[in-house]
Amino acid sequence: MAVSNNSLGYLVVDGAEGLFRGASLVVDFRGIPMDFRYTDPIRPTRLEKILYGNALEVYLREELILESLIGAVEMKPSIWVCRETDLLAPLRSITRGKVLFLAPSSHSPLEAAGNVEATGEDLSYMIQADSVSAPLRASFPENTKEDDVKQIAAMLVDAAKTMELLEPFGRIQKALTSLVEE
Amino acid sequence: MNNLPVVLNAPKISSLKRNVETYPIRTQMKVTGSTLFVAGSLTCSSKGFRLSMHSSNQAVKTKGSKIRKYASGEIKTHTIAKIKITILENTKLAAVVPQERTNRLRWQKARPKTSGEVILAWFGPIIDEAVVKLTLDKRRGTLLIWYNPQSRRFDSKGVFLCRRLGSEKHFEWRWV
Repeated sequence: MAVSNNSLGYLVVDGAEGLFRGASLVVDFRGIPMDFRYTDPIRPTRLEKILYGNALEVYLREELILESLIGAVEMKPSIWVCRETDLLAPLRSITRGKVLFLAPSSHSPLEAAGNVEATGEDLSYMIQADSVSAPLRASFPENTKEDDVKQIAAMLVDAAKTMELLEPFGRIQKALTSLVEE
Repeated sequence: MNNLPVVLNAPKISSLKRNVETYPIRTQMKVTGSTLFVAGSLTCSSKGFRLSMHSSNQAVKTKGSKIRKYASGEIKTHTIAKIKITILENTKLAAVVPQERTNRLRWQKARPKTSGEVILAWFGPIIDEAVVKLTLDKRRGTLLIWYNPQSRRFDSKGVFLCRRLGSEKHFEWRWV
């Protein structure tokens, strides 16, 4: 697996209406795709739902989809970004790298780009990645050191100079939609 | 005179003790033989799964009449296949999906000051020298960007969308 220093990896795992699928998109700091992978949709049978019980969703999302996707990605990004907080811990244990949850916020802009402000929740911060948007809400998995948070925030600020940080999530969705329509 | 020997009969002694005879109320049951025989098979099924117990429902037959029935038997187990997943790669598809920029004018403090002009939007950051095509999505109010993936340029810019008042040409792009 090649390692790309200036890249971000975006992960999406959906389980809407009993249909599970996942996708990963690794982009450079301009948002240009370097690696895109996705899973075939999985619809568990009635028997599988009975046999796996409450563990089914966790098994599908974390063990099957997430682990397989990350294992398949050839271009390892500097940071993995997800948009679901429950993926943080498994993502960290699978990648053993830098991971974070990132979401938009309606918070008023912080003083300057690069500013990081704790929200009061454990390992949750507001990051002002650029001067032309609201700060982003970021969460990190347990045992993330403060130095790592600062390092990741600095990389996000770097990337935000040349791309919109949350935009690749929308592109993944568009790509998956076009695959379904094919 | 008769000499009759004096013989006295022994006195009759009766005991007060009584013998008690007991009889069981329950009819005594005697099993003279038994037979086990196959009465059929039991099948359990569910969608996508089938468990068939091709064993016996056994019955105990005593003196030719069936007195009790129960299901027993051998249960065959089947391994349920693990849920399979296929990972597919399609970076080419991701490369043709355009990037999208939303209008961030409300956060953009530095604006061009030209009279007779209204600024409608600001989109950025955009690597203008890597752009292959730009399209304004009028329905969503966003800018769609197709980049040349081979480009080595990393310098970003922003672009204002302006409207010149009283001009035939309604919209104007201004890079900054």
